[in-house]
Formats: sequence, C-alpha cells, structure tokens
Amino acid sequence: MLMRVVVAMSGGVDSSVAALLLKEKGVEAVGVSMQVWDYRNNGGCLSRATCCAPDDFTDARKTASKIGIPYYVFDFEKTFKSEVIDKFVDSYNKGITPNPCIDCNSKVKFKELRERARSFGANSVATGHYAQIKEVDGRLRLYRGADREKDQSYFLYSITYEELKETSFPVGHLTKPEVRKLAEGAGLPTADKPESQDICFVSGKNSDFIARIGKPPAGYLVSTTGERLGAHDGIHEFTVGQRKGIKIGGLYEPLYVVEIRPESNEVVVGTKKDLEREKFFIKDFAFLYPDEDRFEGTIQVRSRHRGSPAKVEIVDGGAWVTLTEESCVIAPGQAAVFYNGDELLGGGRIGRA
Amino acid sequence: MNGGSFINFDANATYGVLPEVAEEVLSNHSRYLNPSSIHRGGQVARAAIEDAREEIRTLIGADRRDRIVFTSGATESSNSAISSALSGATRENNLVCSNVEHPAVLETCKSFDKVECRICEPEKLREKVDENTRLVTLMLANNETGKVYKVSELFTYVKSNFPWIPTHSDCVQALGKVEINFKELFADTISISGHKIGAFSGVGALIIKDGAQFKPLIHGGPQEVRFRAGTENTLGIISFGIAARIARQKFESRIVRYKAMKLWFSDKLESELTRKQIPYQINFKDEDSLPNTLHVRFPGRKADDLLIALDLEGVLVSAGSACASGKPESSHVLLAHGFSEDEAKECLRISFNAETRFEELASGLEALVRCL
Repeated sequence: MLMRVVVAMSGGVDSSVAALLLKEKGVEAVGVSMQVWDYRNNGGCLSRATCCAPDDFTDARKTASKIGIPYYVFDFEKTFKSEVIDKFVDSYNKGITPNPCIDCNSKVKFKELRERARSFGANSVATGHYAQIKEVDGRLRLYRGADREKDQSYFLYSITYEELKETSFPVGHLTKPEVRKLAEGAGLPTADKPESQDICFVSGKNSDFIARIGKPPAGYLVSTTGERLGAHDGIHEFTVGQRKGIKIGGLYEPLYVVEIRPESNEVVVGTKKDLEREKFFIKDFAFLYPDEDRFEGTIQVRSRHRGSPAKVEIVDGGAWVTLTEESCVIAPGQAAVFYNGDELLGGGRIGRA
Repeated sequence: MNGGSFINFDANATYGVLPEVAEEVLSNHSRYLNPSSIHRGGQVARAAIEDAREEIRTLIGADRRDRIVFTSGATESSNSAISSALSGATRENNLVCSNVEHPAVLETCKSFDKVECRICEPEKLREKVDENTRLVTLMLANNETGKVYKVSELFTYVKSNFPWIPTHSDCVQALGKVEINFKELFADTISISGHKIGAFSGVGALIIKDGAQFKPLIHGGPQEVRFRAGTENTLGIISFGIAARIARQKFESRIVRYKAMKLWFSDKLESELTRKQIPYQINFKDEDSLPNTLHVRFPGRKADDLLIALDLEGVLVSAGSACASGKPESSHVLLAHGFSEDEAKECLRISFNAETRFEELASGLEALVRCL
C-alpha cells in the first residue's frame, strides 16, 4: 500500500518544497494548512505577509495544485488559543520569555495534526523544518538541519521518540538556496516568497498584542540594588535580556532587563554581567533517549545562540546545567536545548534564577 | 491528484456540466457576439438568449408575462429580490425569514439593519407576519438536509391575508429535483441557478411575477429590459437553457432514478453498518425531502475527516455546505434543526446526480463503509 503522509503547508517556500519532494518520492502526500487564529476578528491586517494569514492559504493551495496533491484546511483555533496564545500572554504577564513556536510544534503540529491525519489513514506528518531524522545504531536520531544558518531543531526539542517515528523533514538535508532553487525549478508560486520572521499571530509588536488582550499595570524600573531608576508602561513591554526600550540614559554601560517581578510590577535593569549564569536549572525536561542521567555536550539557550559547552545532570523535575567553558546570558522561560555535536538529545525551559 | 476519475456524491454543490451542454455551447461559441448589438452578430446571440429564457419559463411553469431575468447566479437573484422588497422600508417594518435559509438569503436579510429581521423555524413563519412585514422568504428545498418546505401553503396564507407583502423563495436546490410550478407557489420572486442542473456556473435567474413591484439592484445599460444591467453572460445563459431543456425532458425518469438510487443506497448502507455494528443515524428519513439527497450522522466520527478519507478514495461528499475559505464551521441549518455543535460536525451529506451509475453507487458505498 502507498504510504500516505500529511504535509503541513504554511504557504511558505520550505513546506512547499517539502510537499514537492514527498510527491517526487512517490509518497501519497496530502497538503494541510492549519487555521490557528482568526485574523479578521483579532485586529489583524489581512494583507500582511507572514505565516498562516489567509493569503498564505491561497499560496499553499496554489502550490498543492501545482504539485498535484490534495489540499485541506484544518481548524485548530481552539487548541491554538489554549495551548499557544494563552500561554504566550500568560508568559508576558509573568515576566517569562514565551516560546509560541515550540508550543505550536508540540501541541498542535505534532499532536493534534497527527491525530487528525490518522483519521484518514495518514500515519506520518511532514513539515518544512530544517532538521534531520536519521537512523544511526538502530535508533532514530534528530539532527540539526544541514543549513546551520536555518537550523530549526531548537524548536523541536520536545518531540517524543514515538512522534519521531512518524515524522519527516523533507528539506532538512538541504540549504535554503537549494530549497529556493528546487521551488523555482518546479515553478512553485512560493519560490521567491520572503521569509516570515515574526510570530505568526502577532501583527506588529508583541506588547501591543498583549495590551489588546489585557494590559498589565505600569510600574518602576529598578536597579539590581533596588534603587528606582525610572518608570515603565507595563511589564508586557519587556523580556529578560532585552536592551531596547529601556528609557534611562547617561550611564557608561548599556543596560539590560535582568529580571521581571510581576508581583510588584518591577523591571530590574542591570549590566550584561548580571544576566550571565554558569549554572542554571531547566524544567519540563524532554529527553529523546532516557537511558542516562548525565551528559556532556552543547547547550543552546536561544534560537540564534551558537551553543556553549555544558554538563547536564538530570534530577527530579528537571535538569541542572553547568556551563564548562563560558557563562551564558539566559532568560527564564526560554528553551535550553542540549546537543551532542549536531544530534539533539533533549531540552527544557529555563527556570527562574 | 487523480483528477477526473471520481464519484460525485456532491451534486447539490454542483451538478457538473452536462456533456450535451458543453458540446452544444462550445461548438457554436464563436457565433455569439454582444446581444445588444444591432447587427446580425448580435441578433444571433439575442435569439439564443431568448430561446434559453423560454426553456426556463417552461421548466418552472411560469406564465408568458412573468419576467425571467438572467443574473450572475442565485446569490445575485436573491440579493436583488430582497433589496427590491425592502427598498424604502423603515424602522417600523420587519421581514420574515426562515432559519434554514442559504447564506445568500439569510445574510442578505441580516444586512438590512434598519428593518427588524424575524428569523424562525419554517413552520412558525406565518405567526411572524403582520401588516408591517415587507418580505416573507422561505426556500423550497434545503441544500444541506434536502428537506422540502411547504412554500405554497405559507405564501397562500400570506397572499390571502396580506396581499401586498412580497414573497420570495430560493428554489436553487429544488430545481430539477422537485416539480416547481411558479403559478401555484404564490411567490413574487424566486431564485434559481444554472450550475445546480448541469449548466456552467456564473449564471442564474430571478423570476418576477407579472405585476410585482421590482427595483433593480444593478444599474447601467438597458439589458434584460432594464431589470438587470450589464452585458449578458451569453454562453452561460445558453448553457442554462440547454440544461433546463434536459431537466424538463428527463424530469420524470430522473425522479424515478433518484428514488431508486436513494432507496438502494440507504438500505444497503443500513444493512452494512448494522452488520458491522457501526453507529449511524439517517436524518430526515421520513420527511419530505429531495429524492437525491441523503443526510447521515455517524456518532463519534468527525465528518470533516470522513470527507477527506473519502476524497482520497475518490468519492466526493460534503459535510455542511461548500465554503469558500475551506475552513469548516458548524452548519447553522443543522443547529436550527436542534443538532448540537458536536452532532452537527458528525453529519455527512450525500447527493447524487442523475448520471450517477449504479456501479459508482456500489463502489462509493463500499468506500464509505471502509472509511468508517
């Protein structure tokens, strides 16, 4: 029997080429776009060019038709609202850095989408992520995308081994220019589409989005020693590690947000040194091969972080990370993902210091 | 995609262009110029349009003096009829509309925010009519459930008590599947559509009773005796005429065929599902309904997923009515019938066209049982 695979199509070039490659491999690919957010009723601008807006569905539909695969739109608004948007808003209000893309992958793409795919006989989900799954020494392993610049494995750390078995990343072994070239060669309408940079459901600033839903009260900017340095319009305008938007001048060193205290509405500012840690705790730890409890490798603490050598010790409820060569700027809530070389081993969310 | 080879169990969405229609239109298409032109090129087109008009008149049993106005489709027809009836209406006025109408009627009614919109079950419409009513509208057959409504009964009541109130009926789904007798319907206006009977899409008609007041929606040139401006969709109108002729000639035989297909399909489905112990519920079974439409609920099974599973097997069905965005929403029609949100999402509509072969019926049924 022909293998039936659902390919999540955002209307961007990566997932378009993912669908194309599956089709060329002789797989029965079924294109699916996920309706996750009602742009019309949430102040969104219909014409903006990021992922999941109605225009993107048109692009995905055109691409599916060009490739010659069926295409459907799934309504995931309910799950997306509870698992991604609510958490996003909640994180800001608690002064924690949100990770909506990771939540969307684990709760929507690799969970609900997979469940729906099964209901019509598709037992595998493909996406346009830059990450690779390879079988080495008798087990499946997850690796960084071949294009180190585009690598998206960081956002996939919470995938389980069971899910890995039913997942594919058809463009993971390619570089972005190669992907564009394939799209161009096949005449796909998304070949020269610009990259989407922002969070798909936010048009404009994150803080404006939060403010529309419910604005936290104004408060003070304070120093690490508790001295009041200025005022702010609400903690939703800040995330730990942020440098822009701190309206205090006349100091030698640049200032960063080093802590957010939601209970007192205080934003603590300090120097880069105040942000750096050598040891920190990560919770909600997900690990692909739970047969060891100590590792050495590289920890990546932001999507654009190149990674720092570290030791990880798994304990009850999470893991301790000790940086072995250099300290790192970290922010509570942000994902910390652990690699051995290019192989992703697991990750979690950075806890409060 | 296995384009072409599929079984159309979704004829209520679009019948599919009849081969006779395509052939006749396309082989002569270059002859038709602008029907408003005075020269012979225009005359040929004009004559063809008038032929089509007569075919439609005959099909629906309209009088020689009733107006058959060609439009871009039934949505335009209903918009025209409703806005004409409500022109000049004030805050004291109301309109009476059933809660199972197609969006073409329902949303149009709601758009007149100055007028009180009395929406209710088809059976209760007459209680809502009073001397301030400016429009009563009820569809003849519902596109989703296939239910046929007693339009003639309601409109007779309206006309005998409030003769001045305009009556409108959306007859899109009924056309070609139940007998429409415009004279006996007591409607001032009805809307019909070409693509539901095998013509091209993009053409419809508004039938206006002789003597009924009408104010055009679209202004411009003098086409359609000033009832509807804009250059006529000549090829579409011709296709509509041919499809109407076929619908009339084959009416009796098609009804017999539809009934046989529906009976065979539902009997076989029931016995298969009972044997396999798959829960199901055939809706509107003992009610007056379209002979080609079967409405089934599979408890615990999302109809959207079933639709996709069937599509991938080459069998086309519908879960609710067709939606342009592709985003599925709970059907207002099923909610109006008392289904819960969840139950409404478990309902599948199977609608045959008269060309559906028995082998297709059998393999479609097999696929359905397999996917459940």
